[in-house]
Amino acid sequence: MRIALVMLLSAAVGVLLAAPWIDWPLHEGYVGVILMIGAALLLRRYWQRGAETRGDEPGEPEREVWHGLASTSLIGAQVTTALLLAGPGLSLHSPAAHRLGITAWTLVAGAVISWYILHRSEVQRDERDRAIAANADKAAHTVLAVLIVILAVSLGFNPQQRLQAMSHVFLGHVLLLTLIAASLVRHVLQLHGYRRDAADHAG
Amino acid sequence: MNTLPIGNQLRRLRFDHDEMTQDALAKACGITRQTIIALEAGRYAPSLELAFRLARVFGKRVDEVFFWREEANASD
Repeated sequence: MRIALVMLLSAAVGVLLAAPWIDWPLHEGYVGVILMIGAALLLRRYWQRGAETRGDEPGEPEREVWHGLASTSLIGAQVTTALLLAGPGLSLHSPAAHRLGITAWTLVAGAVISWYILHRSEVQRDERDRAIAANADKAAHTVLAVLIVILAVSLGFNPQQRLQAMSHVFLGHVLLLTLIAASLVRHVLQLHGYRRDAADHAG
Repeated sequence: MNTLPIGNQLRRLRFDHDEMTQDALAKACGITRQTIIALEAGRYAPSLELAFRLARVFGKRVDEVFFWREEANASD
């Protein structure tokens, strides 16, 4: 439930950042960075308080996965929305492509900064983290392979006229979205793994 | 809610060792506190290497720290 909520909220922010009908006071990339930094600061305080009072804070590797899920959902939703609005004929040297590129890379910078805020110096990854990551990796690789096969088949069977309408920039971004989708599956399964063996109370 | 067949005495051993905290045990074994929580809740079975490391912290043999649940049930 919490996993779905974080994913949906982050994706909603991504969609809003790409929405052309919202007139942000700043460039939407900067708005995204401010939101990411704010969320990271709040979350760091929340987890710190959890460690002091309840002892139920997630470990460093799990924190990284939560961060990965939120930032990947946000960037994925932003790119998908911008791509849908621009259409398959998106040209490299067009205002829409420039805006998409600048916003996406600014959001990537925001993700790096927010990761740094959440990151603690004593990073510790043990065998349980590696086992959870390995299980999630297997499923993510399968999803990636399936998506690439679907993409290859649909491109192969697309009529010539429709293929010609798709620009290289558009197809490149669609390939990137398959990577983002596989990464999301990985994060969701990792967090599910952590939830599954989390104890109800700490001693 | 325990689903794994391998049980352990970690919680009792921690308390017998001057109420050692989960954090201290985790640091002594080079793992996260969350893994200790999962082990004590019986939701994670450690590798042989980690089992030895945990047993060494308490100066015990592996079979004094970990047990097979069916065996424990049979002896009850």
